[in-house]
Amino acid sequence: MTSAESLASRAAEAFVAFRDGDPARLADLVTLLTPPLWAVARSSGLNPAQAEDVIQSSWLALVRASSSISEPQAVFAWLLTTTRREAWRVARVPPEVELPEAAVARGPTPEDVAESDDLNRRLWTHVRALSPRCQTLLRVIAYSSRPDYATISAALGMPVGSIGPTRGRCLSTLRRALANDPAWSPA
Amino acid sequence: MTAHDDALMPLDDSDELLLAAIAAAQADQDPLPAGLLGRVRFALSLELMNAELAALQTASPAGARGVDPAVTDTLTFTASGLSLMVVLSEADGGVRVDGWVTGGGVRVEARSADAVDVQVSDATGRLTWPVVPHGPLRFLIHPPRPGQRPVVTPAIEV
Repeated sequence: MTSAESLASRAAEAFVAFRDGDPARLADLVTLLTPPLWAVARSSGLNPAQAEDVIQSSWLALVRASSSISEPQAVFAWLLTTTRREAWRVARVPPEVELPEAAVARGPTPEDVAESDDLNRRLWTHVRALSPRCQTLLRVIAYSSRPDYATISAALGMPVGSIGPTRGRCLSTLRRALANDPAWSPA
Repeated sequence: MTAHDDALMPLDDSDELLLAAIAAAQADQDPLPAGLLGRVRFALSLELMNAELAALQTASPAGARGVDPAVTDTLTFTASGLSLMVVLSEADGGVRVDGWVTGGGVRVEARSADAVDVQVSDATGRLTWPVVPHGPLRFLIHPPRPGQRPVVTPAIEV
């Protein structure tokens, strides 16, 4: 577990440099953390325009609050939490209700499958059929490294310690769907 | 083991592979919109500069094009303390911008997708950018006097 691998540590470093007077490091921070924020907003059910608005407001909120953030290591969590709450508000998910893991969205339609002419698109069809909670978790950790997992679970409103088992269940669900997809797993 | 150590347990190889495949599919199937990072950075720089966003006041009536076929557009931006008028015309390799700003000696940046071109107005407020590239363009007007806020225009497509 080296700090160089951790998104939270890299973010903390850029944030401190920005706050110490180097505005270019804020641009680095935006480049580093916007992709996982996009994943959170989109997997909460927002369309691209809504997701962009939510992400803009999260970043503006961070800059406005920057002098009051006492723990730079928490900047990643702060942005994830702010983005998730705002995305849920826009998507009208009740704020303190956890996204149900079990309520699986629709499966891929035959049209989806017919259109799946490459592996990325086919895999994505199955990811999109997962519960919103699984989608958010897998999409965010796909950008992150293991040292970030505790941060991510807290920021996504998952009980500390649940991220490992939750991730495992989400990946198994996805793996089962892929195993049943003849185009993904030819007999 | 502490309560969250399970989050730190190594994934098995196939989990790593599947997560890597999800990362690739995500980049391919739901990428960040083009220009999103630039728009976020711009919004943040406005916030940090405490800049005023100018309003796009007038566009020339379409008939104006008939007078001089080389003139494509005349736009006026207004802010609380100043205004900037620009006339856009086709030039070799891009667009020529003739501008008039309230006051002489005012520094105005023309910011295109990847370049910043600074001009300073003459005593009559006139400034010229001989060529700016096609694409999104906005202007940043430095505060003419200390204590005033910088002014930024909305982006226009040239």
